[in-house]
Amino acid sequence: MNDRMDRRERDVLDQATAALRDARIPDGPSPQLTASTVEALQASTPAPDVIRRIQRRKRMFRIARFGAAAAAVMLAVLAGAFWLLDRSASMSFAKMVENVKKAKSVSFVVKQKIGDQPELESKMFIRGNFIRYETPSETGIIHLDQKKGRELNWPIDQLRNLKEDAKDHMKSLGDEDVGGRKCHVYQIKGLAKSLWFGGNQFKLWADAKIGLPVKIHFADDHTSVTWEDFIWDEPLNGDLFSLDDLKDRNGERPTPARVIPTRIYYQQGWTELHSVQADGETPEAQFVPRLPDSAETYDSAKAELSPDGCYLAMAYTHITDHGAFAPYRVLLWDRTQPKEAVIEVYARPEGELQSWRFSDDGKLLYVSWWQHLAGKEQADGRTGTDVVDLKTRAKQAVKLPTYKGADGKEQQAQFAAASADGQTILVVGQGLQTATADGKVVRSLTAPDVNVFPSSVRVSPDGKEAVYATFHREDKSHQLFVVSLAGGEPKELVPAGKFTDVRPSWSPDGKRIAYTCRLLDPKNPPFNYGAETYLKLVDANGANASVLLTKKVQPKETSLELTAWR
Amino acid sequence: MTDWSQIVREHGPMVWRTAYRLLNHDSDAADCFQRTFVSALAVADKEPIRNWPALLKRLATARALERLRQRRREANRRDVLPEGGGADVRAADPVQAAEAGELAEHLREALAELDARQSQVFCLSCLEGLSYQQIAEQVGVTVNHVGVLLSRARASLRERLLAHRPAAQNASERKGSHE
Repeated sequence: MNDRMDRRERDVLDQATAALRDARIPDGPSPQLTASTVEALQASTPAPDVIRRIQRRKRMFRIARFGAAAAAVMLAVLAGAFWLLDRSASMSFAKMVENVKKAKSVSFVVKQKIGDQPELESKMFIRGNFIRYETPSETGIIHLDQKKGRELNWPIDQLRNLKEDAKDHMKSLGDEDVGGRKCHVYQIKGLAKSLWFGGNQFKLWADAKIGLPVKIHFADDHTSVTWEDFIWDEPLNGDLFSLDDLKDRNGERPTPARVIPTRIYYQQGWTELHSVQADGETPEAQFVPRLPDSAETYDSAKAELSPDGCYLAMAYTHITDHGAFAPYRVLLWDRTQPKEAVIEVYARPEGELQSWRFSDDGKLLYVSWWQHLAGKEQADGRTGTDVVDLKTRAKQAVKLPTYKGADGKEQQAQFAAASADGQTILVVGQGLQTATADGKVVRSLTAPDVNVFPSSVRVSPDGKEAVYATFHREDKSHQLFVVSLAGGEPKELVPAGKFTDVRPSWSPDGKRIAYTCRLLDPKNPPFNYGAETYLKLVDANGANASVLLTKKVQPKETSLELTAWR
Repeated sequence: MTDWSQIVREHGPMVWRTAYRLLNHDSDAADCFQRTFVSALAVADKEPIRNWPALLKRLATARALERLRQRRREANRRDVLPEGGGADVRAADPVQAAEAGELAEHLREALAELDARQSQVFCLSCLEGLSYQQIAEQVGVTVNHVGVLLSRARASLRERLLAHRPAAQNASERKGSHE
């Protein structure tokens, strides 16, 4: 019965694809369309709408993050290639083919460089029909259903069809030393016109002792792909392939969280919320809900955890080829429930949301927004903050102080944080300032020209101090400070010129501060991201600094992003 | 200096076919045609173009999918029917042609509901015939991830096709309520 169902399913998509491919298309473009297009291009005057959106892409570059990178499956190809080649090859090659066929699991790393694009790297684990792939921004599990033969449409089909020509495709290149291991080297070429790499050749190194591949390399004048660090038949941890709900989640496992006090929550990439104890023990990860029918992407940088640790106030970013657009609504996800339902608690369809913060009791949400001014330049907009009662969804605007900007125009300060009783707010206008609930500035905590990130400002649990991150335009570095709300000299926790992407949070007892940051590399514009990102701890007075986690990252991979310490 | 006249004349028919296949609508295809070349202009300003057909196929597919998604949102408010009803497929038998036309239309709807990157990869591979390597370059993922995205796209599309219209309508309503 299942087999029949599978066949029927496959038919539907194949039929529909064929129908669409063969759809009748009237001749075109018309000579007028061609002429007007050429004219527009030669005048280099793209339509105003398009100009606006391309400029916008630059503004939102931070969250575009270059569309995630990559993961991998080579086993299918390997199996196909070996199956194809085994008859014609030498004894040692044939033996290797047997070994590959017998292997129960394999893991390996893929490195790809195309033209001037940055190198991409991903890791794959394969056991049976389950494949786990890890890319800088995405981790997932997929299941290859063998019954649905062409499910993946991977090159294996094409390889199989070339069986008869196999003997012409493999050449032994002798032996070579790879990482201290003696390897037989084979060259395989011209496998298929429609193969991944347009019929070019690849090289394969096989460990002479164990008779299994250790490296595969493909290159043409523009592209280089290397599969390496093969580990065969390693006992892979079962959790790597844990799948409770393949169908709905493409293999990602929604697990309800138990909320354990005093854990540090952080994210990297788009799919998982990680947590760890302050001593680095008991790491956990939980998949964040995704919208299955949508091109929207989870915006990990903006997520906020409620004070009780149960709810994640989260949002999705729209990603199109024009760039990434900031979220316009906030959703509340109850992490402790097995179902992944999210509910919308705030929406501003005409605006872009910058950040949101829970009140200390978790009953209110302060949402800061930006909105384009109709008829004005792309970057012209106004900002504001609404406070939402999460029970009634009633919202009202927060009164914020105004000040005279550098251009002489009146500007509104940006909301940063609120005291537990809501009577004092912290704002970023002329530096970091405290203000009354009706929008009158009380005190300046920093010099007026300091660039403070409003979303980084966190008030200590006792309500007496605030931690905040600053930004230096020249080198894109961030600094971290603690300052007393009563005034006084700010204390520096992270020095200038060394790190960027700094995000802090207080420990629940208010004694320590956790923060994530990224090494600064001036040679790597536009964000000057370096190759390492950290989760660090430090006492609120600057003593006992330590590194809890270090992660090597690629230039365009996201940094570790601290969410909270709860 | 890019010779746009030459490029539009040489690749225009291919861009037109890519756009029209997905949109099945004259003025939408024409709009998509122009947007594709305007996007190409922006790309060519920044970097030398090594493979014009692959770039133009990617841009045309992206612009057409955007328009499809936009149409789907509009369809919540009013019924928008593509020109020519369902009989847009080359087939001898009129009944077969109508069925195929309907299937093609269902696939367009399903593509509009799919994650943008997945639908893009599906179109480039299954409709435009780009190799994994070409898609990897255009989309900025590794060749192996192309396989992953394609696998997911096929699974989602199949589910949607099997659910036919009712599911598509439910999904639209759900999304529409947030807009």
